[in-house]
Amino acid sequence: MSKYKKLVIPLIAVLGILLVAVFGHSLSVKSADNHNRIPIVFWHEMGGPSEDALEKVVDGFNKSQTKYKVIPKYQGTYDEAIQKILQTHNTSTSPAVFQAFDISTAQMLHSGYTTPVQNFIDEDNYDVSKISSVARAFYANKGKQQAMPFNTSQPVLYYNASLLKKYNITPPPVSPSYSDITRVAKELYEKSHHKVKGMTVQVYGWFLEQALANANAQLANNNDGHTGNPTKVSINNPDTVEFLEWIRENIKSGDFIDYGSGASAGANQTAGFLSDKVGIFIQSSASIGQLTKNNKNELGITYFPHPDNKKANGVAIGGAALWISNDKPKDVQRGAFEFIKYTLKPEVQAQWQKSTGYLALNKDSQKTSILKDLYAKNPESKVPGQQLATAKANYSNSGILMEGMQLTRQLEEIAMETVYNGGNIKKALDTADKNINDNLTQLNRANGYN
Amino acid sequence: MTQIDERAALKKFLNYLLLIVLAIIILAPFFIGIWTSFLPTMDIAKGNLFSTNISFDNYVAAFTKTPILRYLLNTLVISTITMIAQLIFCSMSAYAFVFLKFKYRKTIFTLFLITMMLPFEAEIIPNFATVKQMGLLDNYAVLIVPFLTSAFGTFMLRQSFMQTPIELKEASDIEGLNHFQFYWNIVLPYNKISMITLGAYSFLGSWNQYLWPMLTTFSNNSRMIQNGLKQLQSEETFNDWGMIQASAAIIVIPTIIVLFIGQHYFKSGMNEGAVK
Repeated sequence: MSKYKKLVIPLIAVLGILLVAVFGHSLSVKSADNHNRIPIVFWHEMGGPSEDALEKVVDGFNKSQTKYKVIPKYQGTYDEAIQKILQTHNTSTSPAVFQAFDISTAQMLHSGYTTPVQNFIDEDNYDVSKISSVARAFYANKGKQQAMPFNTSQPVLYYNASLLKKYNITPPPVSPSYSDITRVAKELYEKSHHKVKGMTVQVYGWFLEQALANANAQLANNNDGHTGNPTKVSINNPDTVEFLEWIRENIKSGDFIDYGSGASAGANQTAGFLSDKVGIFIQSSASIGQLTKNNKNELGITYFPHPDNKKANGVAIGGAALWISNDKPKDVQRGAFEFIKYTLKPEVQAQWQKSTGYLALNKDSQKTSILKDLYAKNPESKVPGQQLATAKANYSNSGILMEGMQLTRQLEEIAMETVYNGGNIKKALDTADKNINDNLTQLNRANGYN
Repeated sequence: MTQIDERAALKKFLNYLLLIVLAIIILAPFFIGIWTSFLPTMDIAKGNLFSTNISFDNYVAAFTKTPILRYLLNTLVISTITMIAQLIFCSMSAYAFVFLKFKYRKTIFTLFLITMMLPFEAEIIPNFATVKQMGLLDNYAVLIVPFLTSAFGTFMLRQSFMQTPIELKEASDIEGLNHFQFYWNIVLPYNKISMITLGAYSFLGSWNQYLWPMLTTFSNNSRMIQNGLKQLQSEETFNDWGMIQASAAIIVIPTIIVLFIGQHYFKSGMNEGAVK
C-alpha cells in the first residue's frame, strides 16, 4: 500500500505544476494586451505555412490602427468549421468574422446568420472595381455582395518544361485546347520510350465543374443558382461528355496515369510530377509553392484546358471568403469590415500571393514591387493571375450557388472514377444525375425552398 | 535422435522466420514513419525514401515554429485528469454493484450497460447542445466533464471485482474493516491489473480524441494534440511534410511509454500470488 501513497503525492505535485504553467501563462497573456481595443474574433481554416502567412496579415492590421484587435483562431478543416460556425451562432464564443469555403456559400447565405458586406460597401462607398470580378461574383447573390473573397485559387495546368525540352516537344500554348494537351502528353509518352507518363487528371469534382465553367455550360438550372435556388442538375451534357472523352482517349493510348481521388491522390500526383513520372497535371494554383521550391526542373504553367471548338470562358475560383456574423454588436461588425478592407489592400494581397500561392485579388497588386520581383524570379508564376484577370464574370464561371455541394462532388467523383475504370460515360453520368437530383430535391424539400 | 532434433530445429526456425516476417510487415509503416521524420520535405514529396540527407531539422522546426508543446501539455493535463477520475468513479461504482446489496441493483446495472450501446458519435448533438447551454465551450472543462466516468470502465471493473474471492470479504468482515477500508486496502490492490488496464485505456482514449475536441475548442489555448497535428497541414498550399511527420512521431512517443509501463505491470501482476 505504501507504494501507492508514495505515488500520489508526486502525481499531485506534477499536476499542480502543469496547471499553474498552463493557466498562469494564459492569464499573463490576457493581462498583457488589455488596451481597450474592441476584440474581433476571427475564425479561419488556414493550417500549416498558410497560417503563418495569415497571422502576418492579422498582425499588420492590428498594428495599422488602435481601435480594433483581431484575434485569429484556427478551426480545423473547411468542412468542420462550417458546422462549428453554424452551431455556435449566438453564443459568446462565436466569431465576428469568419472564413468559409467556396462550396458552402449557399449554405451560409441561407443560414441568415451573416450581414452582407454589401451593407458596409454602400456605407463607405468602397470601390470594389479593383477587386477581381470573377472572385466577387462567386460570393454575390442578386447583385449584393454577401462575403468578400479572400484566399482565392484557380485550377491551372502544370507541365514539366525541362522534360519537354529534353525530348524536343513544343510546349502547349498558354490557353490550350484538349487536343493540344493530348498531343504533348502522347509525344512525351512515346519519345521517352514509355518511361514518363504523359498526363493525369485527379478524380476531383472541382475539375469537372471547372471544365463545364470553361466551356460556358451550367451544371444547375436557374443559371447555376445565381438567379434562384437550383431545382435541377444536368451533369450529363455534351460538355461533360467531351471532357471525359478527352481523358478516355488518353487512357486508351496509354499515356494517362490515374492517381485516384482524395487527399493522398493529390500528394501522390505531386510526388509523381516532381520525380519525372508524369509530365502534365491539373491542380490548384495554390500548389505553386510546392512545385517551385527546390524543384530542379523548370516548371511550365498554362490556363485550364478548353474544348477544341470553343473559346475558353474562364474558370471559377476556389478557396474561401470572409463573412461577417450578424450576432455581434454594430461596432464589432464595423471592425470586422475594416479588417476585410485591410486584407484587400494591394500590398497585403501581393504579399499573400507571394507567401501562400493564393492569387492576389486587387488589380493594383500586380504593380507592387513584391509581385514584380516574384515574376522576375519565376516568370511562370504570372500565369494563374493572368487567367483570373482575363476571365469575364458570367453565370457559368461564378461557381454553383447550391446547397449540398459536398455530396454533389462525391457523386461527380464516382462518375469520374467509373469512366477512368472503363465504364460507359453516358451511363455513369446518368447515374450521377439521378443521385444528385434526388439529393437536391430532398434537400430543397427539407429546407422548405419549394 | 539426431533426426528428430533436426526436425524440431527446422520447425523452430520456420516458426521464427514466420514471426520475423509478420513483425516486419506490422512494424514497417511505423519505422517508415519514423524514418521519414528525419528527411527533408522535398525528398518526401518526391517519394525519395532512401535519401541520406537525414537530420533533426524537422524536430527542431516542430518545437520552435508550432505550438505543439502547448498542445502536448493541454493533452497531458486533460488525459491525466480523465484517467484518474475514471479510475476513481468506475471502481467505486463497480464496488457498489459487486459488494453492496441494494434494491434494483440488476436493473440499474442494466441501465448502465444500455448507455454502452449508443456510440459516442450518436450522442454528439445533445451533448454539444448541453455544453453550449452550460457555457463550457472552448475550455478544459468541456474536454473533461463528459468523460469523468464511463459505463465500459464500470462494466470491466465489475467483472474483475466479481473474481475477488468471497473469502477475502468474509475475512475482512471478521477483522471489522468498513467498506471503504475493504475497497481501498483489499479490492483495489487485488485488482491492480484491471485498474492499470483501465487507466491505460482511458488515458489513450483521451489522448487520441479528435472529434469532440475539434467541435468544442476554438483556440490554441485549449486545443488537444490530435487536432494540433491537423493544424500543421494546410488545405491546398505547400505542406512541410517532414515537420508534420516529426510532430506525429513526437505525439506517438507518450502513448508508447504508457503501453510499455502498462505491459510491465501487467506481467508482474500475473506472477503475483493470490489467496491459495
